[in-house]
Amino acid sequence: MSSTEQGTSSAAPAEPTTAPESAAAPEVPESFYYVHGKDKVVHKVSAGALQHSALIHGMISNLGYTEEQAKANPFPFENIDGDILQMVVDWCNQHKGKPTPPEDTNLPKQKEKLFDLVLAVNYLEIKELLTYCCKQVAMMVKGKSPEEIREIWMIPTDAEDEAAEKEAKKRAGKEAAGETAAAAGDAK
Amino acid sequence: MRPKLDEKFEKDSKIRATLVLSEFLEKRPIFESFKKLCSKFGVNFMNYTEFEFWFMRFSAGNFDLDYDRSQDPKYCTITDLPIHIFQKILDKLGDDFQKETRWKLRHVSKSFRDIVDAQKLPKIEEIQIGCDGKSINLNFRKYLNVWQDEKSRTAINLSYNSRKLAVDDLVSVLARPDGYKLYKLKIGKKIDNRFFELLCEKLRETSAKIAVEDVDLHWDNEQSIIDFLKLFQSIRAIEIERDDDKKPINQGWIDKINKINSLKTRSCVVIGREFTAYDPDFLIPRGLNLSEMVLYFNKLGVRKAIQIVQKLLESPRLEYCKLCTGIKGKTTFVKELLKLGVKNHPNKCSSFFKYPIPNSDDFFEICTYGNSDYILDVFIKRISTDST
Repeated sequence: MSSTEQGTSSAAPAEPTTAPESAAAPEVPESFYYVHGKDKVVHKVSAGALQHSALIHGMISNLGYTEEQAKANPFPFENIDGDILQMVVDWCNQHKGKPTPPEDTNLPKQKEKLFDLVLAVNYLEIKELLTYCCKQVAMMVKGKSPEEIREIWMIPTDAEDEAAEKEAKKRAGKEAAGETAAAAGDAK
Repeated sequence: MRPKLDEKFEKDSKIRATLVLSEFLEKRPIFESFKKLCSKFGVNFMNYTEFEFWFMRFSAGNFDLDYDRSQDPKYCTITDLPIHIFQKILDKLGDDFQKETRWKLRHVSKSFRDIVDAQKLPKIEEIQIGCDGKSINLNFRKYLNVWQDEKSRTAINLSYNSRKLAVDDLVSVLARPDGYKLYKLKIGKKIDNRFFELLCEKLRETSAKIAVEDVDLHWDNEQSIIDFLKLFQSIRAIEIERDDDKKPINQGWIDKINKINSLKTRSCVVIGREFTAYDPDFLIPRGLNLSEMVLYFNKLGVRKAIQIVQKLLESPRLEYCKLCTGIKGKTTFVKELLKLGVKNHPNKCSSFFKYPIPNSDDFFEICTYGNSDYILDVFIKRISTDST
C-alpha cells in the first residue's frame, strides 16, 4: 500500500481574520482520518471535511479511533477509483464548515467521470454533492433530442440492447451445454 | 469498395481519429461535426462516444493520433446508476421533465420508456389529436383552474413522424392501471386512419379503461375514429363540428355514431355551429339514438325551424334538446307550432307549450326564449307524468 498523504494542502484553513469570538475560544486540535480507494493511495482528511459523508461520519462516531489508530487503519473504499476519491476528498475539503452554495460549477465535465462520481458520492452518502452531480447529469440532456440524449448518456439503442441480450442468452446456453457435457463426462 | 473501407475504419483507430481531426478543424459544433461525418461515412462508422473522446482531446490541444484507447480506464454509464439516483436526476429537470424531457426519454430506448412510465404523470384534462399530412400532432393540456394556479397549467405539444411513437406516447397517457378520465378529447379533421387503427389495437391489448366528458369531432372523421370512441367506457357529450367544405352528412355516418355504446346513457351530442337552413341531407335530429342534443344554427326561417322541431318531437329516445338559433317571426312560429299538435301550457306563461307523446303518458315541454321578433332558443324536455 502506498501511503502518500494528500488532500490537506488545498484544504488548509484560511487564517482567521476578524472573528473576536472564535479568537477568544480555546483552540481545539483538529482530528484527521485516512481513506483510500481502489488505487490504495491514502488521503488524509479532517473530521470536519468528512462530516459531509454520512457514511464515514457514522463510521468515525462508532469507532472512536485515536489519531494513531486512524492512521494505522485507513478506511478502505475498494469500489471507488483513486481519481474519483480524490475528487470527493477535494470537494469535502473545499466545503469544510461552509454552507453549501446552490450551484457548484467545479464538477467534472467529463461524463464518464461524472457517473463514477455519482456512484461514489451515493455510496459515501454525501447529500449535497449528490444533488450537484444529479443536477449536472440532468442539465447534460436539457433541450436535447432523443438521439442526442442517447449519445450523451451513452444509452444503447433497442436494437443494441436486443443484440446484447441475444448474445448473453447464447453464451449462457453454451455454458449450460458445456456444464451438462462435463457432468455427463464425470458420471462416466 | 464500401465494405473494405468499413473494415479499415473498424480496425484502424488512427484513421478514425484523423477523420475526427479533419472535422474538428472545420470549427463546427460537436454534434454538427458528428452528423456531418455520419452523413459522409454512414451512421455505423464510429459511435458518438469515440467521436466525442477525440474531439475533446483536440479541443484541449492534444493532437496525438497514436493514443491507444484500449488503455483507457473503464467508466460506468448512466445505465449503471441505481434507479433512485436516476429518479433524483429526473427531479432536477423540474418542470422541463414533464413538458419536454419525459417524451424525449420515451423515444431513447425501451428500457428508458419503462423508467419514464413509472414516473407520475401530471393530470392531463384535454388531449388534442391532429394530423397535417406530414406529421401527427398531440397536444396535452391541463387547463382547469389555471386562473387560480398559474403553475398548474400544462401544455405539451408533440409532433411525430412515426405513427408507432405517437401511439405509444398516447397510450402511455391513457392506459393507466386505475383507469383514466379525460375532460375533453378533440379530434381534428383529415385524420390519419392508420394511426387510429394502431391506437385501437394497442388500447385493446392494454384493456385500458378510459372515460371522457366531451369529445369534439369533425364531419370528415371516419370509421377508425368511431372504433376509437367505442373503446371508451363512457362519453358524456360529443360536439360535432362542421366547417366550410359543406360535405353532406349522410345516414351512414349517423348510424356509426349510433353504434358508440358509450354514448347511450344520458349523453349529449352538440351538433355543428355553422349549419344554415340551406344545408342538404339534414338527418341528425331524427336519426340519432341520443337522449340529449344541442343543435346550433346560424339563422332559420320559420318553415325550416318547424321541420326540425317536428323531427325532434318524433325522436324516440329524446329526453332533452336545446335548439340555439335565430328564428325570425315569433308569431308565425308559434302558430305553426300549434299546427303540429302542440298546445299552450295550461299552468305556465305564453312561452311554454306541451306536446303529448303518442302511445305514452309522457309529454314534451317546449319553451321558447327571445324578444318580440326573434326566437333565439327552443328547449324541448321530456316530462314523465310520474314526476309531475
